[in-house]
Amino acid sequence: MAKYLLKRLLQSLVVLVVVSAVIFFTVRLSPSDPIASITKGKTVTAQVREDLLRRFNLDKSPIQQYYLWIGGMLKGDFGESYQYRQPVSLLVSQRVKTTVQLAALSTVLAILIAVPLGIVLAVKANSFTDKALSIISLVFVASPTFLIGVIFMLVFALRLKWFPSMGTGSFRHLVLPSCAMAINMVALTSRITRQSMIEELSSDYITAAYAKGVGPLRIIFIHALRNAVIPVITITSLQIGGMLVGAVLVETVFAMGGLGDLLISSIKSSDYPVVQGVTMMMIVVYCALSVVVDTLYAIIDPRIRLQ
Amino acid sequence: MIDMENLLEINGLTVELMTERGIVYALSGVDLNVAHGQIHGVVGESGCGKSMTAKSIMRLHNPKRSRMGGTILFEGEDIAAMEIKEVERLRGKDISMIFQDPAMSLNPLMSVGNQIAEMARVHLKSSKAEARQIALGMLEKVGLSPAINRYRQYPFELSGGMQQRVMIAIAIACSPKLLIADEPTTALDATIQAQILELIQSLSDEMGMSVLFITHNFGIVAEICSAVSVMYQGRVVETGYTRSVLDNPAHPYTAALIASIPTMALESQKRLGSIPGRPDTLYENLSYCPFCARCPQAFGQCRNERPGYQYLEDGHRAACFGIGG
Amino acid sequence: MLKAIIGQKTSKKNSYGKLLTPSFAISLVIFIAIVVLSAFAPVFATHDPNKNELQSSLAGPSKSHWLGCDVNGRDLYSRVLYGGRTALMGALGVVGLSIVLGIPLGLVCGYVGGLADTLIMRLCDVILAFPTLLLAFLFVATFGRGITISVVALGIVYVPMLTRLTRSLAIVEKNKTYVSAAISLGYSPLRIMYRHILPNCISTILVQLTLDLGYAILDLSSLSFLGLGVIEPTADWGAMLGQGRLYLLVNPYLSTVPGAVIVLSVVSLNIFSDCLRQYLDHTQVQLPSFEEYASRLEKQQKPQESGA
Repeated sequence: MAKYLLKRLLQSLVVLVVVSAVIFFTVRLSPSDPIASITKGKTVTAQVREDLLRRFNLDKSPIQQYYLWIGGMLKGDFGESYQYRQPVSLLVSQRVKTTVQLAALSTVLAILIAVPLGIVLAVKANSFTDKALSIISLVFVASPTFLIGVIFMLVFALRLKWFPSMGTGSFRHLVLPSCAMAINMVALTSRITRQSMIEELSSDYITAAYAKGVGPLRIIFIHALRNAVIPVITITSLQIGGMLVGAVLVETVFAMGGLGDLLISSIKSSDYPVVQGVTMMMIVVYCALSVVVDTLYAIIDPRIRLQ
Repeated sequence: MIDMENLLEINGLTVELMTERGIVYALSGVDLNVAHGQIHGVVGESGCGKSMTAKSIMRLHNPKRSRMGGTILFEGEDIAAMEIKEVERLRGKDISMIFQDPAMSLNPLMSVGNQIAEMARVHLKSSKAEARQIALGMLEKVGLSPAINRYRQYPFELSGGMQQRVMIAIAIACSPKLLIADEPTTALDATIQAQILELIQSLSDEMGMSVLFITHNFGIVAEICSAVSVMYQGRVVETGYTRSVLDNPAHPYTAALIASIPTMALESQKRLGSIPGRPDTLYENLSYCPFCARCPQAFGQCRNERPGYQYLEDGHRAACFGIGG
Repeated sequence: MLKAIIGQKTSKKNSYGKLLTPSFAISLVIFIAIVVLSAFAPVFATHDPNKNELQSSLAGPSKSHWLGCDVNGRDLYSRVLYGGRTALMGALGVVGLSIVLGIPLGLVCGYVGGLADTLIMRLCDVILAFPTLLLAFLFVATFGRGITISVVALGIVYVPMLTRLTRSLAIVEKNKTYVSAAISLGYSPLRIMYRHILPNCISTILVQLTLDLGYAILDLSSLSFLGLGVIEPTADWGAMLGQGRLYLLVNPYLSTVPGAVIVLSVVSLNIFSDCLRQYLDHTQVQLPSFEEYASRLEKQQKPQESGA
């Protein structure tokens, strides 16, 4: 188990190093002049230009810059924003709370709804409820998060006025965005749970468990569910990435001023230190969550744990 | 065998199954009796309904995709007519089953000890500690020692033979009256096969447990079964004591099956027998002898009527017009 | 009565593994309709999609503007048609790029293996470490906005998934006898990969590609919605939705109609791919219950009875 986790950690560390290089050097390929982004297009004197280049380490060679960037990040210094002239870490720390709340709330909500729903649909496979819900979930899987967000806003915030339409601050502000994000996940996760439960329920060891005289409830929850949950975890881990991007979209819809807003506005204004910093942070989170998921695998599945 | 009291009496069992091609008449009137303490073999080609019979006794079909007729009397009670709740009480406690592929039949995520202990928890309502003790005892009993170490292992850590021993330990954990063994040695190596057969036989003797032993191998029947039923196309075509059936096969199909057993007698220079043709899939309810197309002795009546049983001495009977007529 | 029906001999034609199911037909018709309407947008459009008529800014549906107008007074109906061109062509570009790179890479990984396999798979790991759109964000940040950049960026994101799928399929095929036979006949690796292995994997790949096409529509529209995709005044469903949401109370059609066509095209592609998979995978066949089967037989029998 320890060996497995260590290997997994090392792997993600290597990937993270390569990814950091990709992020850093891709951005360097930009044909646009970073000074133009810093001065918001104003022409400046050669002296000011020189100062700015030195201030943002742009006078050094790319390799040196990368080295400084990595070294800074390890110390919690993600560089300085071009447009805000503030440390990236400060900008992030002001906004990260909203994004984390949104992502956590929607994920918990989605799993709490999706897994039980999937089990019920698997047990009642091919019933009317199953067929009706499968069509509905098909539509939701195909609906972009931002569309659901926009429709929620139109119906529940603008027309019915049950919830505020934008901004942050209270729990009520979080309800619509979280639900909009969760719905997509519920649709996908419940489909996977259903499919996986149906497969497990028709496997030989379930027949054998019936032959043992085990009752249906115990079969579903003790025998089948534990096996069925493995592919569900896989899908959930893949969705973590989608969730991070989903948060960006939903934050935009509801003008929540989170990390996503920061990222998008920085992309538009070529604020590279922020783009690099936020992207890197998201990928670190993504990697860390993947490691957590793989640990979960090992806990559930002895075939991974004991090898 | 008729004079002994039977533990299991199956009369006119029919099972129809829904498949993507339409309805399959999987069993069309199975009659089969298993006496107390007897190891009863069921032989036939694949698809003849052996496993179907076993599944029917346990009521393991999907009720939506199958329908049953006839009676399955177990200790005088009709399993076929029971509520599923009652069947659940019977399963595992009074009737247990082991399967062809132990690797697929064990829950991959549960330790083998816990899978045995589950029997005690479910049927005997034992405490966790009691169930553990029972499971350890069972592991010893089926020859998996040291039991303490085996208890913690998972199915994937065991060999096929050991997995089948675990299945047997699960099956006998509550001292069932009947063990249904559905080709339990088919997926195993020849040497392991012999060990498993020996284990089943000794457990049957020791516990006075009846065994319904399903196999396609007449050699195994000759080795451990005291009585045998031969199935063809969803029907028992011949049944009787093993010696009697082996020595005097009455049904041409039984005779052909026995002739196809490879023997060590090479000097006889006899070619291994084979049965021409292939059984049809049972898409229709036949009104003639299902074997007539492959039978060397078939005559007019065979193609127009379904043969009933002809009785020979000592409970030996066969469904064939060619006997005694 | 029931017994008599059940007793009927069933023909082998009664196989459920057929492709032309109602849901397949419906999804196909919807998708083809969307494709045709978009492809022949100039024929079906009522207005120039980029012509501003400021006097009818945010106008509701009317005889001349069937779905109303956006803030610049451009006809929504015509823009939805032209937007389809952008969305579908873009998605096609994304999937096309992933085919051109992903399938050959996957074949090489699976069939040749060795160092090439290790290198390509590690490269895929790096790309997959970026949550879907994040790499596209990075590309847009670097090279600027525009449909081409978005398509290329997403195409690169889609490559590793297809590479992995092709690789796993190729490994399975590689170990089959017919490949050994082809090797012993002295065929070149290239010929074996493209003429022997690929045709045997293509059905599964096809299912994945139809799904990917839907995802590509979604991802491209997300980029455009965030203002990172198409540049004004090009019509695009995602961008239209993004602009329209600012005027939700004035003219909700501005965002709901583009949203609806996105959902419609993605749903139809998903159903399409689902049917395709079920058709190719016979183990997934759904069996009817006894009651359903009996009533089906009854229906089949009735015309015969009345005819007799």
